[in-house]
Amino acid sequence: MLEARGVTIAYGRRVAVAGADLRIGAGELVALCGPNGSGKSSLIGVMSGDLKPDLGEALIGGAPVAAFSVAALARRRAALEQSPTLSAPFTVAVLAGLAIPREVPPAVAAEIAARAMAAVGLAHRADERVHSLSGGQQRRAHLARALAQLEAGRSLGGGEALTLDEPTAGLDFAHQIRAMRAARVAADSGAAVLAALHDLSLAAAFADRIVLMRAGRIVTDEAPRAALSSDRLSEIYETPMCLFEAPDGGLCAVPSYLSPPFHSGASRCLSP
Amino acid sequence: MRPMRSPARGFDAMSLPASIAAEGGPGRIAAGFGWRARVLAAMAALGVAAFLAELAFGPVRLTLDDMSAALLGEAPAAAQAIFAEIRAPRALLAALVGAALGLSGTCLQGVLRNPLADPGLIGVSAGATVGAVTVIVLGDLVFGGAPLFLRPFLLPVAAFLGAAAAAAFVFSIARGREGVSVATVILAGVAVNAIAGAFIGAMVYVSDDRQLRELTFWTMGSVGGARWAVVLPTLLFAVPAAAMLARSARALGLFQLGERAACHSGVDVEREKLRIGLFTALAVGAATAAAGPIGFIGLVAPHVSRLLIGPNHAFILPGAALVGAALTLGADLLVRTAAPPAEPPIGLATALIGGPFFLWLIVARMRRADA
Repeated sequence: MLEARGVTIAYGRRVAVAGADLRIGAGELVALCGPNGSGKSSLIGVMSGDLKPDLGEALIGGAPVAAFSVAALARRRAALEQSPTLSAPFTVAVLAGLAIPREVPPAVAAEIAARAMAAVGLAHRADERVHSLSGGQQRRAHLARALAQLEAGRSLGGGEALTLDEPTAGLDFAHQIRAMRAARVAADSGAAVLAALHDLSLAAAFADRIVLMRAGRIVTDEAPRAALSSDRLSEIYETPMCLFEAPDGGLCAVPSYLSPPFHSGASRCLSP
Repeated sequence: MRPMRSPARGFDAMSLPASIAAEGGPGRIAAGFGWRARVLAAMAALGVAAFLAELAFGPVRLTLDDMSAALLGEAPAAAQAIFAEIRAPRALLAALVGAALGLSGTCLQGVLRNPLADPGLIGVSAGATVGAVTVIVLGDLVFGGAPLFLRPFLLPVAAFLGAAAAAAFVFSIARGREGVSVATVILAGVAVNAIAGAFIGAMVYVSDDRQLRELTFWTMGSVGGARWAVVLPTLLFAVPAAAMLARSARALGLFQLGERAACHSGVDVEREKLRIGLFTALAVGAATAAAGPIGFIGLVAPHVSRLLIGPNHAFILPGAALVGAALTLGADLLVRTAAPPAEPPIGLATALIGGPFFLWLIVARMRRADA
């Protein structure tokens, strides 16, 4: 279980997150959405333990994140950064296994890394240098690193939480779905998963709940169909948004590209 | 009937990509590390060859028989003295200094994510020099009352303190989660080197004749001053520091992800930086106190090791220690035997190797940045 209680973060005088409460149970996948600068990354930073909030606290499995040593925390939660970098010529396989703790026997670690690479569709590139891959493929390799860390953590009795800061940014459609499936699998195997996403349709398809943030506050925290409405999205994103039922039964949320930006008034789109 | 193969083994070999089956992640030595072990063995052989050559060659040539006799204390008096009092401490010191600089350079380059980080270039050696020069010039004044048996430790301790101050400065410049540009760290090094240069100049100005001779000889860098009284304190400082640095492999690998991701992956970033900064300062301080500032070993050895052995720090670290030792021994042999009895400073040889290497690194980086 991953939890934020009354988390407030300020950078100087600017308040990035104001009194956020969020609770993600084991087995849940929660999507964190909202416009740029709404506080998603700051909240994820607190919940993954690398930002110390000015007020409130983050908890993993009921214990404050701050109480764990860095190594103990790494066994309990895995994290994907918003813009991961790599400055050594590692192969995909080495990167995938990089965050696996020492306590995991090498043979087990190799299997875990191989599964993680398969989950992001990079098994066939295992022996290639990460730097020789495209931007999206490099991102997937880093996602594999986080997935492997989570599974390794579970094999050591941890693996309770996974935080993903925009795991689908820069990926093509098929691999966005693949990345979200991997996140879903992580949740189904017992982890609390928090993913910052920009694509609301993707969030609606894979997440148990969608948390919408605006100006540092959590506006909505509900199941996708309850969380999303044209009016609410239009207000939060300050641009007309359309919400409709896709032919496959999924929920589709897109900006209304053809109508002018507006700040009040009804959307021309039909709510489902 | 044919013997049954273990089915599990066959399955593993089929389903796992070769590299992870071999690597099992960096920082661990798994089943298939064969070729890297062979490269390390070759480096070790090179180091041993350089060590033996350093023992053998000089105004008087010692054969392997002479050396083994001297080890048993059965050699003729002259050969015995040359071996035990001159060559052995000198070879040991050169190997020690080279290994310490190689390890320090590897750790600095890894932590700062900066391929140009060398103890000399970023000012750690200059800090050590300031500490050591202070002791040489002001030592009698300040520590004149210290007991004699502590005297050999004054120099390394002062050099360590100077190196630690410089390392702390550079690390504080290089703070920041998403990393600092390569140039900033180098510029910080330029500043440290300039300040240290001014201080050393001032010390030279106030020193007397005897101190000036000692100072001049020392600041050029040489392992020629190797006596057991110098080598033993160096051993005491450098060996534990090197042992601690050699344990940083996993953290150094994760540092390549940047500090935030390293922290996500279980590295206590601040603690690890403090630990590496401290032991780098100790190793560089000990090496500099005994042999003066010797440039470029800390730059060249890690790169050669990485080129030969790949990006896994579990192998780069021992490789850099071996290459550093072999390079320093080779450089000393070169300056000793080039034009006897003259003995140019060892820094000439290391700069001749390291300077062009440094240029090549910069040009290679520029090409990559252009592409």
